Amino acid sequence: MILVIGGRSQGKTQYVRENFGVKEDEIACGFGKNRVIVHLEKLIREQGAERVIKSLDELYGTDRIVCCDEVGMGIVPADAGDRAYRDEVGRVLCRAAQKAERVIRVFAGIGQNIK
Amino acid sequence: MICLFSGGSGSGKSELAERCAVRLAQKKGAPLYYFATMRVWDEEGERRVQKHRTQREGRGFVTVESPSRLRTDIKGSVVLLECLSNRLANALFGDGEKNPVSLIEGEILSLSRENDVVVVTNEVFSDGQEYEKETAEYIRMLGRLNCLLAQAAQLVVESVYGIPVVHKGELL
Repeated sequence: MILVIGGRSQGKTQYVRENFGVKEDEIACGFGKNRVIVHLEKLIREQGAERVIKSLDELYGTDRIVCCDEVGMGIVPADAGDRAYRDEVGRVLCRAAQKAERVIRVFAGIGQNIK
Repeated sequence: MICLFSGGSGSGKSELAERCAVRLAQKKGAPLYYFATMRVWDEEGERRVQKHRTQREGRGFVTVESPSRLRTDIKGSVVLLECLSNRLANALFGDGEKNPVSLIEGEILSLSRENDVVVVTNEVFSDGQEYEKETAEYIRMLGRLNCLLAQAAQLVVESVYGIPVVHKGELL
């Protein structure tokens, strides 16, 4: 699995299209037959960290690509739910980054291989 | 020596910084201190502290509660300061320090003359939000402190979900 992370609207999906020869119908926000999973942070919000961690566990060692926003780089939110969400995304991504074969961070459309 | 570890919430920066501090202490056979800066107000804070305590259990840290001014009388040791963002918030909002940036920079530089200091800081600079005056000032000060410490540091690492991205120096 390749994990692609970066801030919001940094061109992660476009980077994946250009660099991995992905077709449009292979991209979706969900755990289906799609080769590319985009907006993992939304799935974490909707399904909770535990379910997403289980789904991701099936994908290591495959040719799947998972894209996720980095969400923890701001002032700590006043709302307890927002705080917990940032920590949950962090927990899922720390595990995913450890297990993924490659981790790419996209900054202003430029991908940096960090693992 | 100063080693600076940064990253967002949940980025795994504490774990990387702790491992660095432990390695430094083992190399020199030096005592290992953990300067804990967080003031606990509620159950959530208590849980956060407990999580960090469990994480560093058995690693040989002596915990020094450090919500306000830091102890600078320690010598020949490795000090892990966690974290700069709480230290600054406490100095600015809690203790009403007049010049928190120079104060905290001075404390850390002073400690680093006789010890290896591993500092955990926080990336709070990229959420694109407009904040009221106090918070905007806090962000500016933390950014300034990060720059000053990075300048003085031999190692500057950003934790990206547990992956160390080295901006300066070399990981041990």
